[in-house]
Amino acid sequence: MIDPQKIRQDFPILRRVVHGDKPLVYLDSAATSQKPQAVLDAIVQYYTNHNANVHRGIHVLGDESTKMFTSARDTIAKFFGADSDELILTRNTTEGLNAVVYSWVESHIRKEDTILLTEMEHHSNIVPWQRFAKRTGCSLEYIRVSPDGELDLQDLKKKCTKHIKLIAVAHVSNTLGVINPITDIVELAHTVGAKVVVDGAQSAPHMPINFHTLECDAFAFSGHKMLGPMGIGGLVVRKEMMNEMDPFLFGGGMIREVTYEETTFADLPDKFIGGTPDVASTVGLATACEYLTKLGMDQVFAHDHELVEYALEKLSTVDGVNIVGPMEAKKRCGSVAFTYTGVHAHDVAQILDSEGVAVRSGHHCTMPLHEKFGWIATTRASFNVYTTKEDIDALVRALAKVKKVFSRV
Amino acid sequence: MCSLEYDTAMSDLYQEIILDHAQHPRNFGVLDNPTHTIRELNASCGDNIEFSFHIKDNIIQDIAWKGAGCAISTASSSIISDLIKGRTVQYAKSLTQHEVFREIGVSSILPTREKCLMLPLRVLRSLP
Ligand SMILES: Cc1ncc(COP(=O)(O)O)c(C=O)c1O
Repeated sequence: MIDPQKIRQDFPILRRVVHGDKPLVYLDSAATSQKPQAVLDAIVQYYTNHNANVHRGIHVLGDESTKMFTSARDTIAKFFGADSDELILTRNTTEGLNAVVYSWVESHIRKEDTILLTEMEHHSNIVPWQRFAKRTGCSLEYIRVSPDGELDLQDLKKKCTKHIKLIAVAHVSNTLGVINPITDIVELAHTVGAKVVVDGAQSAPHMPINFHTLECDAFAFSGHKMLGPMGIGGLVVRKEMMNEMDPFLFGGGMIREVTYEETTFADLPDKFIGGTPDVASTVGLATACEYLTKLGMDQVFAHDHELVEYALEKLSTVDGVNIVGPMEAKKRCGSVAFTYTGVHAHDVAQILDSEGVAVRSGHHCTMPLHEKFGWIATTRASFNVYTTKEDIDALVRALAKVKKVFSRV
Repeated sequence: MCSLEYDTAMSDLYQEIILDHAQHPRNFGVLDNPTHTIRELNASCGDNIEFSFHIKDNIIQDIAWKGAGCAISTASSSIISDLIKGRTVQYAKSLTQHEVFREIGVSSILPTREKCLMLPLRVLRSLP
């Protein structure tokens, strides 16, 4: 089992106090995780000693920088059980999902086809498809979410017809916290010849991911949610699909030959690296991957499970708190969101913050799901490797203040 | 932000007047025969409000509003609805954030809550 108390030593920001003398209780890791010293050092080290553009300057720094960039890419791909040529670096999950639209969907999905999503998707996994559908007239359908907050697999079976060309689905919901059965979805999708694109933003930080055994066609993730820096993420794509993809960012770096009339593109992976990449962040993310690998993703997942179980147990005893999503810890990962009877989530979060407890409040970019369930907004506590049970105890204590403030009048 | 400033801002936020308006909002509901109805959404928190107005001779004769929002947007809507009832449309449209501060009795708002406070002002800006 990993020891979060020991891990916390690696995260300087967790030593901060807020509002005078309150220790920071950071329960907003699903929005973005904190970064270990090793990641911060890797970035500073890169800029301090090696900074130069990649694949361009024939000089010592250029060589070092290029080598660091290539090896960081390899490390990131390996972390996801993928080959280096299967990784397209992006800024984040959002850019990865948009990349699928511009690079593959544009040339493979027609007016008479259907794209299948689920009712629990993040806006990042709705809006790109919706815009494409509006542009081309293709159909969009949504797999139903059951009242207890799980994907309705019967509905998936019903809707997975030969018209479906692509299914885009979150691996883990950032609101319901539920883990979706990707391998079952892939099996069904592939029988009708549909591609499966997985939004891995909330699974990559917590679960061991093997892209090849997951069998989906593409998997998008954000580095900043998995202990890496902001501004770097990726899209892992199967070779067969990758071969059918066109670049979507044109310019320097991604070309083989340019004349005034024509351009031919570079080979993978350069073909998808338009312009100067964020080398320092790529190196930072590779360091985060190494950090997680050293902890062991099985251990990381087991730690998360313990926290989810504890949070479900503790929060369900708090007066006024109504947990959303399934109540069985083994079906969930990463976070627990709830409504508070009679108090808006923003007010809950503000009062929790006054006790040093940082949570997320609002609709967490799942407005349609909130609308479906009739939640105006929810409050979400989310975890990472440095989260302790004491953090959850602090949340429960701070929730008592919500009641106190709102019973004043 | 330094903590002293913050604590003031926090206790400012949940002072009596805001909590009172949040829990007993004035002019809450809908008008039977509104001349104007305006909806606004605070996309960051899902707060949704709808104001209905009865405007005659350029005067807001009657006003009602409804919505589900946080304490700040609810109190702000409630206070503003009281403030502009019986006043001219121009007055309502020209209300500023500072005047709302003064009415509530705060000197500032945390940057993350500004949108909540401003939600009803955005409604007034869309008046004809
Ligand atoms: C499930 C899910 N998908 C997509 C995203 C978007 O991630 P990013 O903002 O890093 O692109 C998030 C992050 O909030 C998320 O939770």
